[in-house]
Amino acid sequence: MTPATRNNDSAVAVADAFDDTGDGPPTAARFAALAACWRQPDDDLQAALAAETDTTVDAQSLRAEYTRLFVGPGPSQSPPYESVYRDGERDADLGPVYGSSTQAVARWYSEYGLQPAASESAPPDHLATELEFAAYLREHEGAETLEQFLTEHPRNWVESFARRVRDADPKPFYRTLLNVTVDTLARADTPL
Amino acid sequence: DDSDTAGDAVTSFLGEDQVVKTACSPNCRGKCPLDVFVRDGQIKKVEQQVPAAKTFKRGCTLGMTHLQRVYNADRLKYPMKRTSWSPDDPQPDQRGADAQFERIAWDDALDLVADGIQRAKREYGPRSLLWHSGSGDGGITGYRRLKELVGGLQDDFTYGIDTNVGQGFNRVTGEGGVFMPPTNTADDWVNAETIIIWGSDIFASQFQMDAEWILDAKRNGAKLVVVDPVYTNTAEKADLWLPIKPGKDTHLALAMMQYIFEHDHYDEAFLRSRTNAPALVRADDGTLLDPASVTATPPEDGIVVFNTETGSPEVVPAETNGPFALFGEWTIDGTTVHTGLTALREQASSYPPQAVADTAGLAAADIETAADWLATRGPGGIMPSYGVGRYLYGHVFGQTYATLLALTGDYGRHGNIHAQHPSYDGSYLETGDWNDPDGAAGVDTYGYNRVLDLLANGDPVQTKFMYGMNSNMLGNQFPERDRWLDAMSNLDTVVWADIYHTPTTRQADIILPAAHWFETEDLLTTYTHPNLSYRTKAHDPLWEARDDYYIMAGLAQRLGHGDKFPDDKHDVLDRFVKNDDRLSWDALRETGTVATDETPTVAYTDEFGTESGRITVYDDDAPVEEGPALPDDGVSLEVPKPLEARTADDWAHADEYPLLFMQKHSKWRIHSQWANVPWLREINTEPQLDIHPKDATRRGIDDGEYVRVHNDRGSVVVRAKYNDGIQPGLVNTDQGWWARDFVDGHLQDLISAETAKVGRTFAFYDCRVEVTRAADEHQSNEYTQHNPRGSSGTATDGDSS
Repeated sequence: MTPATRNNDSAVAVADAFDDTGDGPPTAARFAALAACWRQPDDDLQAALAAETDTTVDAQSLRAEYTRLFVGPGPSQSPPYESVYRDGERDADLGPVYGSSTQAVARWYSEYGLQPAASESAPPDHLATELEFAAYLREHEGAETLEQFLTEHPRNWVESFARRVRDADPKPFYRTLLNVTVDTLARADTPL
Repeated sequence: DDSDTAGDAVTSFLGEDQVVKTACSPNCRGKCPLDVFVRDGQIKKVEQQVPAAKTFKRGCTLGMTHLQRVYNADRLKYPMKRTSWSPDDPQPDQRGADAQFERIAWDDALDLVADGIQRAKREYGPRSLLWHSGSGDGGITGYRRLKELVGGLQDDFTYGIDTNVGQGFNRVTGEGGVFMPPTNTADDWVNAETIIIWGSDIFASQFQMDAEWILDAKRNGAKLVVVDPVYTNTAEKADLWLPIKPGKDTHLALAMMQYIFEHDHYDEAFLRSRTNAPALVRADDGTLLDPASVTATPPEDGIVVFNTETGSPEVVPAETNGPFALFGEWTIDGTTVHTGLTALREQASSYPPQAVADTAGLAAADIETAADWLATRGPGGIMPSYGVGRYLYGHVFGQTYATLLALTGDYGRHGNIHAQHPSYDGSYLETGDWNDPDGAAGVDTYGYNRVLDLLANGDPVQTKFMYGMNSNMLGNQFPERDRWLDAMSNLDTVVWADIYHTPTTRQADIILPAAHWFETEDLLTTYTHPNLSYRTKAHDPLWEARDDYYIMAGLAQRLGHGDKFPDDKHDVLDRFVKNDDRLSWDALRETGTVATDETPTVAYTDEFGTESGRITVYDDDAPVEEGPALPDDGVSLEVPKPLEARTADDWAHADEYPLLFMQKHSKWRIHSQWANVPWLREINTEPQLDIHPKDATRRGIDDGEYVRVHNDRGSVVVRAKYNDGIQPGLVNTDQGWWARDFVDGHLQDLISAETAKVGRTFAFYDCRVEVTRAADEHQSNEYTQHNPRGSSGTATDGDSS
């Protein structure tokens, strides 16, 4: 997001994200690291994972898995956008992108003078963008504000999203990332 | 659950809508101008636009649902390549349902495509490139320009898809091409006294254009006859419905001719002056008597007729009336001759209404009424569509109805009708050399009927690289789908641009996300109404989707033609606007449309386009049709002859596959577009087989059970729907469903890709099947519970087998 910056030190961030298993409120860095992990895998992420795990991560298979799960094409994708899980007219359908919840999220960002970075062509209610915004709130605003945002937005759909992703039988990295993300969002429940 | 209300609470009801002028453009040919309401940068609502030519205000349910096409989560979002594909090791066998893709950058995607084109040309020659574009959109893309510059092969509708009816009509009138022939424009139809809609459900599948004009004519006193095997939305509007058996259309038209001959209801003046009815035909070889045998200096377009006043033959040019015998036989200089009309009457005499009633499943009195109305009530016409040509020898119907209308003199008068979706000639763009650029390498064209051989057998050249757009060819109207899939495995690289991941993009190696129409600036022409439309961009393409123009321009740049594609598409459109005195940006921007020439037009007022300038009710230069169920030496078509393949009662496998299988066009889709719109899928939930309860109960099939529709080519599993509106012996599944919508198999697998020698047209409805209750595993409600309904989708995939 701009003007807030993403944590570019992905190696540190990823390590932090996966190592932070405590019960306390997640740090801004943890939100930021999760956000980085939810983006299209890039060389930084691959390097970070290589540095922190014993096995070498095959960058192409990670990208293919990300594409399969979150970009499509095809029926096994789980579009990582809030409105898709909240604004559909019937439970059986995926909802639209750019629904009313997308607008609500965008309004949160603009309240704080933020908007998704120009390089992000995805709708503003992408899970990664919401996590980046959570990182910003964690760092710059009070706990109640963060709580309100998490309750109004990511917590409202991350379970539905997670169910759909799990149905698509994700590979370990994304299965873990999903668990950590769900857990992180729940943990932040504890007042700071 | 507060999540339902949270969204509503934040929707702003303040602020102003921006109304963006744009237009729809699938292949219903409607090209309806639309108003798109945009608020906070997002599209909120779509309405019909009142265009400059106001009486042509149009729009349908599909157009109103674009919101769910633009914001569909299932859209193609980024350029992608199949992970198992690489230029050096394309692994075409890895395509299909299990193929994995990875997102790539646009620059990389365009590099791969351009390099692939260069490489194929270099290694296999320019004709190893195959360009394919269907009818999915009508905007300015630069596709044709780039293709002409780069060269290669292109496939085309001609011949192959829906080229029968027009072809037969053209053969005897010299007018039109292979598609619907010219007709009086729709605003003249109100003058018709009798309208016969023949094999077309225009109140369901093209209602945005033609239906209102038909109703106007009815209100003005016209009799409406509908010939259709199915009790359709259109049939229910009819004064007389002829529920014909499939494939018997030529029989019916001949029976009408027989009635008209018997009752002397033919238009003598028209036949003498504008047809070759009086032309003298040699009895020995069926050719026309040579004018040079009658006069030393015959006029170029002259025919020999018999003048009953002088008692001798004479040569007359086109558009000439006189005391010419319409019937009779003479011996002239030892040669026995008769008139062309004599031969036609002789042919019609074998098809009296009483006999045809039996063959075609009709009442003789109804046939006579239809013929009587057409011949005696005043000007009228026949409005067929492509459906009636979807039989192997369907072109004969084109010849037949052209001939029938010649008998009744229904050409060149107010109130005559010859086709649906009439042409207004004014909606064109002054494109200059845009589609025919300097330095063009040129492309060779192959009809779809030849492309399967081209791909499968390298006959006559082996194609290696295919670029496709605006088309879901593997989802719709390409029969024997398995053969296409096999044939395409000979291609090293398949590149496809689309808005959605269709059953066709699934077979691609490189997928390019195209912009939705509302995300483009464009100029749209049409022939179905006298308006030219401007598309204003409602917002930028979502994700990384691109207007096809910019895809073409990106490729052009890499292929050495960058200077021929302006960086900004607007500059191209600007060129067309500046070329054209009728157009101005102010008007286009403000109103969205410019009215073009909307004068009602009467067609066929001049000499016909045949050699003689006359309709050849006797075609002395007739082709000999060859194909299944015809005699080995073929059938020569001087006069209309009912030819049938699989619809014939004595077809070799009629006992094994007793049911005829049709794939009607649906009101819920235009071909396969809109199949993924949730609002529409709420109503039109899944593919079904329309089957008469008699046929179903005979097979132990309950209403709503899943059935396997099968023949020796393939099968498809769909839900049976008891339908009293479909005649026993005929079943129907609407076309345009996507592979994933079928429980198992695919509609296209059942249809033969075989074409006849003359017709050269896929015969979608010339198909026989048997229907049995599907296996128990398909009877559970699991399918419907997980029915994809458009945007989601985890159902069994029709591609997996």
